[in-house]
Amino acid sequence: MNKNKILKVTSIMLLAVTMGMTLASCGNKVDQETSANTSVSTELAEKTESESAENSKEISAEDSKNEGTMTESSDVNEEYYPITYTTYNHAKEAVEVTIEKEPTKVVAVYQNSIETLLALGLEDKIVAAAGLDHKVKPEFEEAFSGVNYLNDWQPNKETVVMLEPDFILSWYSYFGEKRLGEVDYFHDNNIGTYMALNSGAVSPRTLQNECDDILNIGKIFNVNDKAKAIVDKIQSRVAEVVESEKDKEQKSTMIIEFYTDKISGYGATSLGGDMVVKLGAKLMNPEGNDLGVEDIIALDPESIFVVYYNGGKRSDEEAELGALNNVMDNEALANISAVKNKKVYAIPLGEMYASGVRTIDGIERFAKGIYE
Amino acid sequence: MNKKVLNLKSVFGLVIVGLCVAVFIAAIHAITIGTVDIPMRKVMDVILAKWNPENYPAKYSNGTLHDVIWLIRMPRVVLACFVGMALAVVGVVMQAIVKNPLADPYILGISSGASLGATMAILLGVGTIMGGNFVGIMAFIGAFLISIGVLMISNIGGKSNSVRLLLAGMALSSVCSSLSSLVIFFAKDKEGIKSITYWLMGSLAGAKWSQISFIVPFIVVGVLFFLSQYRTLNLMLLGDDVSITLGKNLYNYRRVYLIITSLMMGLVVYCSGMIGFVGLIIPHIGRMIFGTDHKRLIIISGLLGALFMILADTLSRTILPHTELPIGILISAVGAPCFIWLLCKKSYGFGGNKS
Repeated sequence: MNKNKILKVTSIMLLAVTMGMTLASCGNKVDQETSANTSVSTELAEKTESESAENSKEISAEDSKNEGTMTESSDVNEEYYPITYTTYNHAKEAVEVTIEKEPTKVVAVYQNSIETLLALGLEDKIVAAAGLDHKVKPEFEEAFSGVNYLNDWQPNKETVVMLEPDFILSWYSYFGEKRLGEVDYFHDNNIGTYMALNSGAVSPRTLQNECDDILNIGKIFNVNDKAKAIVDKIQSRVAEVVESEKDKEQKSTMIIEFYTDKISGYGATSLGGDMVVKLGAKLMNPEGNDLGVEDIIALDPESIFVVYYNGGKRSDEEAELGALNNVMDNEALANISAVKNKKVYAIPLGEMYASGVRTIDGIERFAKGIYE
Repeated sequence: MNKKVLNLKSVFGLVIVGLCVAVFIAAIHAITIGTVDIPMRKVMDVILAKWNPENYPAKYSNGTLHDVIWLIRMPRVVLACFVGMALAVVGVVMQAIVKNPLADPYILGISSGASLGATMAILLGVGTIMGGNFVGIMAFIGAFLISIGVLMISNIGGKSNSVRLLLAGMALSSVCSSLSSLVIFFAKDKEGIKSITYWLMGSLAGAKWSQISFIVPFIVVGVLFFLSQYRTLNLMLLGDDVSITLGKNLYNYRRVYLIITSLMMGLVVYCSGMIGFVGLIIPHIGRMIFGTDHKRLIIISGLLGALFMILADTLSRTILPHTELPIGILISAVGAPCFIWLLCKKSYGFGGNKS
């Protein structure tokens, strides 16, 4: 009986040890293979390049009128690419990425990624999009209707790899270990990545970062002029406001968001705070701590912006009214100047947090609220 | 009487073999399904092409199919298998160490230590020099240090026993969670707080072979070690007084066991975050099937844990199209009702006689 026991235990132990050993050897094999992978992926890239060359030939044959312009534009492309741009990895280190040709199969995740591509007229380059917080801006709806939209969540790595994209545009968090994984894998496989600067890649969050994002994406897709136009509009609007308020007394303001159990403040290191400061106003809570009602009374800003997020359950008007009522219905706040002068405004989160092309809307809303 | 004992043994052997086969089938099946279902043949081809690439077309050794099977799905399934095994076995051991059926692998400071480590990594950027998976590494450090801290505190001013361990665990947990809250309060980083919540839900996504070849030896050795310690574990359920009377002082055993479980759990936390419930219910299910003898319990729990985890992970990544439901949510939602059903259906005991 005892012998039996010992035999059994030893056999189980042996089994487990062999299992472990096999696995360990598997691991080694993979390491060898990753080095082999790089050469393979260049091969693949060559293949797709020749494929796309064939495609363009077909198109030009079909449409003989455009033949001249087609070759011209591809000439321009040859001169333009390869280009090198800077993005970040999950350790927040800057990474230089070189892409050999214009990305044509883009996976875009989250509102600003999708909308920036649409604003730059790149909707036909999107192979899949996902993760909208709310509908795209009305002017993009038509362009967006043709886009392959997966759903409101973040696609998993498997889905993304299966789509065989050549570019991924998203947020810092999406390249985390548990989501898509480190950017190196994609770069090694000739897939470009770009993460919005204000999505956590760099600190502090600034208006300039939003502009840089748009310019960078313009650079990557060879639509520099369109990108520059969007950024110019933002920057000239800011300059215009600053210019018109130059000789007047500085206005004070504050950006807050109401939660069920606290009031959260947006400080100078948040995008909203930076927008306000760039517009020449004084941010009353630059530290961006959580606030009590008493703090708001003590700081007494001339205007207050209440941030709201509308996930789509309510209409925008309802959501806006709900946000405003947090201040307007609070008897303790009835005597602060912002309430007395009716200078309490609601601002959607999407216009002042990783805002992309909505940045201009945020700027307009802040400028109007603070100065009018 | 003798005949009955033999029968039980052969039944046990059959169940073990059955479970091993089930784990294997579940694992292979898990590799075939996902965003896109891949036929079993192709999966086999990709795996076999690893050993003799020259006999297979190039698309099996590189490209999308290869990446999805070999770099995404397989490491994940293997990781699920070993994480499930580790959680279940550590759950068994932890319940014996603190002599409490409510104990789970995270009870003695692991969860709060890991949260603190992850919070510091995500919000304060501590440990970013350790590369892309710095959050996991910080969580491992937090979990390991705090559980060693629990062990040390329980020894101050008297020898530790199960009650002192539990109390020290509670105390340090509160300290850690208040520190985490403090960091969250001062960080003012919404995106970061979201990442922490997500991270704490636990997930097996992002499994890598390099990670697996590092943690699996520890888990296998740990499981084998506890398998060899079944007599002491049985004694632990009877309490310190009884075991001293029987000539065994549990004090040192408890210390060694705790160091080993902390290491195992730290590694589990490092690669999968926190996956609750498995370490609590699988040991109980194991006891319902074959009683409380740790010799059987550890084997059966380890295999059940592996099987359960593979199934849960497969479900978590296929239940919603293109995206994943965090496995922690799924396990509680599926596991709790099953557990209640079992509890109602079978008479159940924790140590000693069945009640």
